[in-house]
Amino acid sequence: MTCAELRESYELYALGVAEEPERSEIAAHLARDCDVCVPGVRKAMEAVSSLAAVAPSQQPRKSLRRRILASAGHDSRGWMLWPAWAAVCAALAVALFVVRGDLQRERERSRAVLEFLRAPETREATFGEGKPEPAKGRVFVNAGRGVLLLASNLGDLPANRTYQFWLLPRGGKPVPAGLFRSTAGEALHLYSGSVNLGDLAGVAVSVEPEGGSPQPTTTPILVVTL
Amino acid sequence: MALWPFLFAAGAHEEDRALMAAIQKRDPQALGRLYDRYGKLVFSVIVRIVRDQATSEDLVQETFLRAWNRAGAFEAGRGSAGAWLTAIARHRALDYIRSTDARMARGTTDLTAAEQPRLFVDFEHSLASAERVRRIRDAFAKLDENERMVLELAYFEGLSQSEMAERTKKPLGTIKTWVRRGLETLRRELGEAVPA
Repeated sequence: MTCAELRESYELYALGVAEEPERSEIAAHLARDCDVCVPGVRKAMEAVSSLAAVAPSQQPRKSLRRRILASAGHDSRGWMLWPAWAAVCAALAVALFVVRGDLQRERERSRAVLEFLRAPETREATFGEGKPEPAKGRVFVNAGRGVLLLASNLGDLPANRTYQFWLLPRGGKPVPAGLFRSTAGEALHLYSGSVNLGDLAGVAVSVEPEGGSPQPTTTPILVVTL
Repeated sequence: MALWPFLFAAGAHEEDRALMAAIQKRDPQALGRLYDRYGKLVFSVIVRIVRDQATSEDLVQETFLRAWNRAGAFEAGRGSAGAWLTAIARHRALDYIRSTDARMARGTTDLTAAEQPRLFVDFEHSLASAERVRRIRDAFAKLDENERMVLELAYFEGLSQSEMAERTKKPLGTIKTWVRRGLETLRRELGEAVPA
């Protein structure tokens, strides 16, 4: 279709209600940086964007600003949470693209991770730095909330294997703390629950059969002493 | 006398552009200032769509994080940050209600294409301007009831024209007329040219 034929549909496109074939045709014109349609759709975008102002004014809670800055890596106390914020952003990015039933679950997980990192009593340990072993990352511990693992350089696993997270009590057997898989070698795993910090010697990750094991069946790929 | 709103709008654009340029340099304080300018508007749009305070706050957070992460693609020198943010917010909120309401078809309306940063440049007005917001509300109030209804169904509920016809039990042709006429009236009341 020609630009002249599409012109009447610019605003419908901007509003998201253009029908076929106009929708695909405008998208194609935009994709090839059409000199006529790009400025035309921009103008339509401005008109449609104005509808945002029609929404009745609502005031968010003041804490939301702090949450947003914390999730972007900046804490109101003035220190940076990198690399935690990058992992959280990645988790949120995942949440943006999961569908239907998974969306709410991922959103809740993202919120739990953000709240965990923001809690002032959360403490942090690093592992793997300067070592030839591939896995590296950070562990955050909060007595009231649990343990958060951020790991990178994890190897790919076959479909019938999974990573299993373990809490290591002093003088006791490893306690299962959840299963997780890596994506592009990276993983974020949150074990939620209270933790006795006085009794917690460290955490570990091992590779286990799908479904997990009551005790580690392989040598842990990483052990972090806290 | 009528000059000052335009001067204000120009100033609002300059401030937006400075903030976006700082965000591209990963300045979190600039993100805070952007939130101060548009957080309430973004929140209002999302609440209007999802009608839940806690979920809306999560979606506002996602909106600003998305802007933070995609700021590199934004043309800071020419872009309109407020319009871009509200587009992202709208899409996040509509995606959310689609994900929680199995009755709504996913992707009925084309949202992702309408979020490209390059489409939010060279705008005349800034949504940070209280004067602009007042004029938009006045213009919207001048639409007839049916025109307001279909524009709200499209913008805040993400319904296609066919879905609106089904919802309102009106012929599709009537819905299309109301949508077009509503957009025309809004544009005319705001004194804007036909997109060309």
